Formats: sequence, structure tokens, C-alpha cells
Amino acid sequence: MEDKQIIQLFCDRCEKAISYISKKYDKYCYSIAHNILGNCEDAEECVNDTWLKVWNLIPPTIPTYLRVFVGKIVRNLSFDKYRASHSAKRGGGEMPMILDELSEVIAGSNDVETEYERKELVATINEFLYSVSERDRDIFVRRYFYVEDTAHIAKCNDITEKNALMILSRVRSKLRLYLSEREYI
Amino acid sequence: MKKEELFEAIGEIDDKLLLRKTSRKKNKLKGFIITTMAAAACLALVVGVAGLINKNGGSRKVPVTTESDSQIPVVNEKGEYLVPSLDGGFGCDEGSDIEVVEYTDLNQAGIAPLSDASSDDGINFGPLMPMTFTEVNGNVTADRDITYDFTDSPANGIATIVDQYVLTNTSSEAQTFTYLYPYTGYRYEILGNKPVVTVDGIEKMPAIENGIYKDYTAYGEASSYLQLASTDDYHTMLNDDVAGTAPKVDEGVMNEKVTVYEFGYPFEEEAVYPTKMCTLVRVAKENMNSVYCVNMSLLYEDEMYVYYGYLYDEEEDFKVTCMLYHKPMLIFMDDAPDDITAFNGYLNEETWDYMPDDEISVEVNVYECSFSELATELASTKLEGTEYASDEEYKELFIDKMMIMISDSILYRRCGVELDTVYYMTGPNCDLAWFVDEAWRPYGFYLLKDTITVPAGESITIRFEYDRIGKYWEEPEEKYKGIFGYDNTPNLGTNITFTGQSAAIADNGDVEIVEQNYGFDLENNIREVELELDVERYYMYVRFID
Repeated sequence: MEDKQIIQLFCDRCEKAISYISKKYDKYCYSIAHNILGNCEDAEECVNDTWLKVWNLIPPTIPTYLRVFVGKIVRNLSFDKYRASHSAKRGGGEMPMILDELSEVIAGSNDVETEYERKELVATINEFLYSVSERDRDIFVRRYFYVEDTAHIAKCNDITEKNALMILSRVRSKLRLYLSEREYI
Repeated sequence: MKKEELFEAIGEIDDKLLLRKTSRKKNKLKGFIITTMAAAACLALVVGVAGLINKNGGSRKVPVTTESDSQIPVVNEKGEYLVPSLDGGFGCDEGSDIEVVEYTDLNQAGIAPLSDASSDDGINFGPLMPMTFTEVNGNVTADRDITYDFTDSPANGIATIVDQYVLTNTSSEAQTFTYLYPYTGYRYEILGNKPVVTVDGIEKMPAIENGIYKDYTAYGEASSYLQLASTDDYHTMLNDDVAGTAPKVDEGVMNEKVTVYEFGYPFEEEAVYPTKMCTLVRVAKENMNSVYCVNMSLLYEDEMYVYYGYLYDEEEDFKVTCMLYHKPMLIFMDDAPDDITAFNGYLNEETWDYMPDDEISVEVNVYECSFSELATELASTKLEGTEYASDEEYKELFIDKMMIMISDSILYRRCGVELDTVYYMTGPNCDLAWFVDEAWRPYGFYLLKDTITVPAGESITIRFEYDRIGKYWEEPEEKYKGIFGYDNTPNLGTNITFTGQSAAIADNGDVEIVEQNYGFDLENNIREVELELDVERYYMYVRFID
């Protein structure tokens, strides 16, 4: 079923909308949740919560890209759950490494985020990602949005894992410099 | 900003940045049709993706195909296999564009990139590279013979390399010169299993020095440590000049006196503060480029000043970090501020306001020393408790690397020397603990170094013998399991004039060459070949017959 048809079902408050959206994006959402949480039970719970959240958001929100919309929701829910349950201590998923890698970018940061500053930060990160090469952007987003492991990222880009790690390190350095020049750190 | 906040901010990036991309496939190659064997490899990749989803042992079943799924490899009527997208993140729910690719040989096959195979934990130890001189010497020529000795039947891919040079002095005067022999590997390996070096049969003990420590990717940017993934990366890094890349320490800079402020844990045991922040040290903004720190961060700033501080929830965390990296320090290359202790206080975590508080007292130890002494002290802190604490050779190499990095950093930050801006810690928060970590990485590019003399009109033979593991694919498709690769770049980074080079294989008849461009023919007993000096790279992929 086309995304716009699914969105219409949500707008019509037809409960079949959830069945259709879960059939289409269940695996996609599950992989994001599992990458973050590292265990199946929690990942399934987040995916189920995602459909409920989508039900509550559409309408009035009408997403332009439904896949991205649900991806962001499940990512947020999964990360909230990760923080709440301290999944890192149980050794779950890629998150401990992801956060360690991101800490290199913001080491020494002195800003606390108000809502306004947060939106500014997001806009800056957008600018940065548009400024790097498509491949570097692709790899960065796979790692830090989708929380994919580096072996998988390498395979998807037809490069070695070592190359992927190298590219990630370089993009992180660039992001750090970009944020530093704009006084975020 | 906390790392979690950055992670969340990334979660809100533009939707267009998250739109599905197809997997990238190499499109430059031709001639090699992948048959059903590779289709089986593709199935293995599908299983791999499912394994990824269930990698922690969950029992969740990966949904079988829906109308938008396309994970199963397809072989068309010509027997060519079609590569579907196996995206797990971007677009796992929808089929991607399918592209037929062809490959010329194993060396270039995207499915089995033996040319990029890595050893051990993903490090590529690089090709066999030739010796060079620290300075060009047109009076000395070299004839080189390389032997790959597999007679120990090394099913683990370790070959004994014998790299021998006959150096001939063509002039009427004795020639004295210094050579550099490149060796990429682990610090503990090169020290614990040193190459055996002989000159005319007499064993010598060359110095082992740090070589270039930053590498250049194909994009031409420096990164802070070697991450070379292929022979091409070595070409890029060395830029045809090993001698020119050998780093140097600026002794003048490293012997300058600096003022060190060393801090203790700020809070009394019973004290309760509204924040975990602690004492702040104020530095005028115009002085920031002459300040280094250890375990401190730039926490706050106003119009004229920046404030360094350090953050710990518990004294225990503080103690552990001190053990690893040293107590927090501020290091002033120029005159330290007079009122450095006048701003004890804390940051309110909620409002991020600076709150002066004279009740906070921090033990401060102030002293003068040189950067050399400081680097040695930080290195000793790092080494303490490790297996290398009493290994003088290891310590020397580690400390030397730190010195090189700090020297380069100071020259860049203070003297405006043009160096690679991405690499050097730009900005105000120049934490030497970072340098300790970077220097600690054992994998590196090392140089054996010694000075020798060749009498007028005579020749000497210098020989390097050491064990070397070949490249291997860590998780190869079945077809490529047990294959090891040996690359050789006859001219990379050398300034020596070679009159000839040859390569030879010694084995017990248990070696099968899967692919090569040397010209060996083991079946017909051709085990020695002349090398053409203008060939950029020789390669040999070998399987050891059980």
C-alpha cells in the first residue's frame, strides 16, 4: 500500500491503518529499535509503542515521508527506553559505542540546550551534513541515526569495515570543527 | 552539550537526509561473471542481516517477504546473479535498484576484495616496502632480492621475509649514509620480535624510531592515527618519500619552561552542591592559544574570559581518571594569570550560571617544568600498572611519539606553522590526555635506522629477516577462506637507485598461488622472478595446502 493511502487511513481514524503501517514498516522499525536497545523484547515493545504514537500524531501531523517519520519516532522511543533502563549496563546493542564516539565530537562543550538552542543545533547539523560528500553523509547517518554497526555499513557501501571506521572518524572530526567554529563547543 | 543531547539532535535532522539510498556497487570492472557460487555468498549476506537483527540471541523471526521486500538473491537466465539491496536501515522494507556487476579478477571483485583484506583486528600491515636513505646518495646503487619463505608451512599465513640488499659504492670515496627500513605493525611486536639485521653476515642492532603517525585518506586529509586499509592508502600516505615523512621533535619548543597548575578533588565529603561542576579557572581569551590542559574542559565563557573546569559526580570517578591520565592540570606556556585561584566556584547545572563560592577550596600544586618533562610524567602515569611499565624500549618509543605530537601541536598553535588543521587539536580545549591516548595506540609505522659505510668501489650486503602475516579476509566467503595476500611495492617511498630487484618463494610444495602478477609457476618450478621496477604493486594470493 502506498504511504499516502496509509496516511489517509490514519486521517479517517480507520484502525486498519495500524495493521497496514506495521506490515510495511515493522522490520524497518524493529531494526532501528534493536540497534539501539540490543534486545528483542524491548525492541518489540518500542515498535508497538511507535504505532500508537503514530496513531496519536496523525492527524494533525501529515508526514511528507512516512518511513522517515516512523523511523524518527521509534528512534526516540528506543533511546528514551535505553536511557531509562540503563541498557548499556546490560551490554545492549551499539549504543555505548555510539555515545562514546559522539562524545569525541562534543568534548569540552559548554552549552546547555534550551529549546531554541536545540533547534539551532539541529539546523547546524543539517547544514553540516549537506556540506559533506554523499557517501560520508550516508555513512554518518547510518551510524548515528540508524545506529547500524560498522560491518553492515561497510557492506552497504562496498568498502571495508576499516574504511568505514576511518570515514566515521573523519566526519566526526569535521563535525567537531564545524560546531566549534559556530561556538557550540 | 552532552553526548546524549547530540544523539537526540541527530534524531531530528532533515527528512531528506534520511531518504533511502541504494547500496553502492563498484561499476568500473568488467569481464568476470559471478555464478551461482556468488549467489550462495549473497544468501550468506542475507543470513548475515537476519543475524544482525537477532544478534543478541533473540528469537524474533525476521518477516518473510512482503510486497515491498526483496532480500532473496536472484540468478537470471544467463547465470548472472543480481545483487539486491540488503539495507537493514535505510530501506530494508523495499527492493532497491538491481545492478549487474562484472569483475576482472579476484583482486578487484567487490564481493571478495582481497586487495583490501586486513589482518588481525582489521589493521592492514601494508605492502613490503623498500629501504631508503635519509638523504639521496647518487653514488650508491642497490640490487635487491626478496624471499618469501613458507617452509614452516604457515597455515596461519605468517611468512618469513628475507629482504636483502647489495649496496655498491660506485665512487672513488667511501660513502657513509643512514638508511631507513619501513616496518608497519604493533609497537610490542616490533620490539618483542625484532627483525634480524645483518651487514655482511654480522648482526647489527639498528635503532627503532617512530615513523609518520598521521595518515592521509584518499581525500587528502590527515587523521590522527594510521588507519590504512589498502596498499593504495600506503601510496597516498607516503607520497613517494618515506624519509621526508619521518617526524621530528622541536627540541627548543619541548624544552621551554611551562607553568603547571595541578588540581585535586574539589568537594568536601559532606558537602552538598547543586551541581557536579567544580572549580573554574579563568583565562583571558587572548591567551587561549598558549594554554593546554589535562582532564579539564572549557565549561563556561563570558565576554572576556573562558573558564576551565573539571566535572566529576563522585570522588571515586575522579580518582580513577587521575590514575589513568593524571590529575587535572592547566599548563601555561606564557605567564600564568596572577589571580588563577580567585574564581573558585561552581556552575549551577540548571541555569548554567557561574556561582562563586569561597567555601570551595581545592588543593593546587603549582610548579614549573618543560613540556618534555610533562610528557614523560603523563606517559609514566599511563604506563603504570601496564605490562610495559618496566619496558624501557617500549616507554621510549611511546614517549617519543607523544613528544612528536605535542611538538607539532605547539608549533601549529603558537607559531603558525602550516600543518594539517583537521588533525591538530584546534580550538581552546587542548587536552594533553588526548595526546596520551593517541600515542598509546600501538599500531604504527616504524623505521629501522642505522648508519653504514661502504668503502670506495666496493659492495656490502645488508639483510633484513622477519616474520610477517599476509593479508586475509576476516570473514571470507567460503571460496576465499584460507587465502593470504602479500603485496610488494618495489619503489614506494625510496630514493635509492636500484639496479635490479627479484623475488623468490621457498616452500615445501604445500603452497598454491591463487592469484598473482609476479610470474611464479610453482608447478614448473619457477620460484624466482625478476621484478620490473616501474610496476607499482606486485601481489600474490596464496593458499596453504593441508
